Amino acid sequence: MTGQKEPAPVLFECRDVHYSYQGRFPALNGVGLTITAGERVALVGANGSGKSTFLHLLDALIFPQRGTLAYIGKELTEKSFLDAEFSLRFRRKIGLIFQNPDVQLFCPTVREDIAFGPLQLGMEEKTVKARLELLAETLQIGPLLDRSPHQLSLGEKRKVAFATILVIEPDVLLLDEPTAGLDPKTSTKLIGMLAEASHSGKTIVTATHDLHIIEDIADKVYVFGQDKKLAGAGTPAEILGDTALLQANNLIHIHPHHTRDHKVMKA
Amino acid sequence: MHIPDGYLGPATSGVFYAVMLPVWIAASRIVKKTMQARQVPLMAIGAAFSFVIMMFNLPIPGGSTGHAVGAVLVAVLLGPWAAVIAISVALAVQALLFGDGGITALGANCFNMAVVMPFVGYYVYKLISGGAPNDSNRRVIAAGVAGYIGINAAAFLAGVEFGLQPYLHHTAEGQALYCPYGLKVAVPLMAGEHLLIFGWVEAVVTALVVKYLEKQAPELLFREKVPMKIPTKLWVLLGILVLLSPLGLILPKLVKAGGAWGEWGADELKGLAGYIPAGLKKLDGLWQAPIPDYTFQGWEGKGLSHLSLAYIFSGILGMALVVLAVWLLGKYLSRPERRPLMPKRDFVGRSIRGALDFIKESIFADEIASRPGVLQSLDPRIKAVTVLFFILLVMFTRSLAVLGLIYIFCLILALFSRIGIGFFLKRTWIFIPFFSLLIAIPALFSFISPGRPVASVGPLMITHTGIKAAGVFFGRVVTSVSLAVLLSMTTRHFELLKALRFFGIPQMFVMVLGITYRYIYLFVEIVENTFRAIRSRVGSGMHYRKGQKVVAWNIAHLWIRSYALNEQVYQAMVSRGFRGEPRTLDHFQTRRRDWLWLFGAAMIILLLAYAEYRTKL
Repeated sequence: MTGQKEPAPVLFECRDVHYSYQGRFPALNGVGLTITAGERVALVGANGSGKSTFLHLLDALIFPQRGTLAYIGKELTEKSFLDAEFSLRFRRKIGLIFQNPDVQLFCPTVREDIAFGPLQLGMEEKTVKARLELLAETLQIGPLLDRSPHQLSLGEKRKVAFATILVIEPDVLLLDEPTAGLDPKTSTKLIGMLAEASHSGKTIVTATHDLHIIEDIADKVYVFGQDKKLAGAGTPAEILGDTALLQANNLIHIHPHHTRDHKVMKA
Repeated sequence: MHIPDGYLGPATSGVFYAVMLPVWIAASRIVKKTMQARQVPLMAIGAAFSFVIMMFNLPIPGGSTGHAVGAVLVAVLLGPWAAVIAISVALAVQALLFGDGGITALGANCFNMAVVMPFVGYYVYKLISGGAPNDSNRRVIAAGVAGYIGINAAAFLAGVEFGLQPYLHHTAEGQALYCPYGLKVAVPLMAGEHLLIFGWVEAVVTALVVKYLEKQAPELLFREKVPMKIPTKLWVLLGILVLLSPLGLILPKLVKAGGAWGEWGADELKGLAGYIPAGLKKLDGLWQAPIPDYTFQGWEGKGLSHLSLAYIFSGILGMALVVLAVWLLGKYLSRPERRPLMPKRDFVGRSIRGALDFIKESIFADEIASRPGVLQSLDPRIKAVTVLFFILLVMFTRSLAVLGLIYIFCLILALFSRIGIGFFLKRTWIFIPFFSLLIAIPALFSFISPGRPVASVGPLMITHTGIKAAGVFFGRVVTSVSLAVLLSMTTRHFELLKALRFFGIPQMFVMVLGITYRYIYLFVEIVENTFRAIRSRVGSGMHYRKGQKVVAWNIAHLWIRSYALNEQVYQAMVSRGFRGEPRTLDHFQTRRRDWLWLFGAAMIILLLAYAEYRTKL
């Protein structure tokens, strides 16, 4: 961590978290890490290393089958979410942007999609509409509001997906491969938005295998290995410098163009 | 099998809506109980899947293609109760937004295809498959038989519904007011084409898709026990309806004596008491009619001796005209200057074209809906209400003049809504009305419509009642299709779906409709890409057996993807605070022009109804 701030409160505390799909396909084999408030975290790893599963755990969509996961000292379990009050508080604080915007955008129009979250979370319709207008202006998605998600380009879809979460004004943003499939310009724009969100004090956790962006979006990087455990942790500079670690975890390949690529990135 | 508006009389339509209401309530309660909050995305994605199944063209022997309804398949995948909702939603979207199936006939269509077909199919499947292991051939055969029986049960019912119309609704002179053919024509026609052609397509699709899923993803097939515990209150409601439904069927019979609707006078009312037993007696004969020996009493008891022959003849004529209609339509649609020439047997090309047309059409519809026109500027709720009332007037009127006036009104509205008249005519005359026009032709002649002869074509006599019957039937169909198309063309689709809230449809269903609509597009794109991939790898020249396997595999694969999507969408909803009861944004605003329009429309409707009543036009 950069250490320029005073010690922030611990937000998420996970210990030895295990998760497997249908009891057969392991996705996480004992992951433990701590995320503090206001921190910018990147989770890197190859496809299938359990990053998405980990984000879904942080968003309490699924729960650890072994080990524990706590949010501000309270353990997250299926049971704790039967409490409507707690569920509401948690969902207002944490926002997850799914990897596939076609999953995230399920309403017939962009406007309804952005309004969905705050409405379910009990916000007044007036407030929702006001926030919607403001957000549409800042993200420049005004003309998209009455369009249907299927008419949007991937870049527009990602932008709108971002809006559906920002409108809730959560403290924690969980992002699953936010730049996947985007051209460099759109990608840069999105990173700019993330930087803005971070300035306003939000905690940002990004899962990605796009090494180019992690210096811009993270202070701390965790590497997820093929064995579905943490393979390493450190600052972006430390991790990017550790070629052996990256190679072992399928994040880079030995190829002449890579060194050039790496230089460009450093520059 | 989607019954359009104008084929069924108001009483029949009303009875089916009344029957569907408790069925929908029961189905949604049962599904909610078993699925909890998951039901919303599951129903929506199930509905989108049901919608898209019809886009998969299957090659059939003889080099043609056909598509399945898929209701039995959906029942095997989701269970029969969930299938009721999913298919009803798919049918509602088809009727409201794409003009496929009538709005007033929606209740009947849902009963045939969303209740009878999935339930019959599901139980046939259960009965035959028994406890057979997942990958056994017995399950595959069971699915095929279930598909075949399911669609034929639905088609038979549709035939009965058609066949009852001339009996239930006709004037004193015996002029039919809705579908002009009795049971002896309608039932064999509907049953025939499904026994011979569509039933097999349904069987092949259901069997092969179940086969692949049993092999690849058996956990995605519905395995639970079908809950049958319907709340007592609903049973009572259903019981009352069953008791009342014959009354609904007799009512138009009692009223028929007069000329225009609502015109029965004091003496007729006096006669009512004595009439009921007579009506019931006739109905009694009616119920026995279709099954044992077809000894159905002709609807007016006129010229009974000739009727049998005439019926057979008109049945053949009807079939020939249907074939002709389909052939002409196929010719028209595949005209080289309109579309790239495509061999008939090319099911790959047809599926791609279907998907592309759908997307193109929707972009076009969106463009029309955002033009600055009269109808576009109205509040969707008020527009929907007025169009519905116009459709109801069309359903009830017996006067060709009233139908003509409403139709002219439609054209004027189209003009003021900046829809080109040529385009509007093409859009509203193609398929349903064109088809209905051909269907109406046999009704001109004396063997269907006995009465005063006007002209003769060879040995066939065209009668005065025949002209009126064919004219009213056809006028009704074309006018109601035009009204429905006007509504869906000038309203952005999502707004139209949201306007349903106004009709007391629960928020949950509106949400389900919205999500269904959203994912139909995703699925259509998947269909298009899938068939492009097939074409790039194997081309389109394959044996029909191989082709059927390819199509079935892709439907199975789409279901596997749908299921995964459903789980993810559910999580995406939960992540944003969804707990089972959705809340949606309401942003409609009525302005003065909306009320003016409502007033104007109400005046026109009342005026037309009154004019018909006074002048017996």
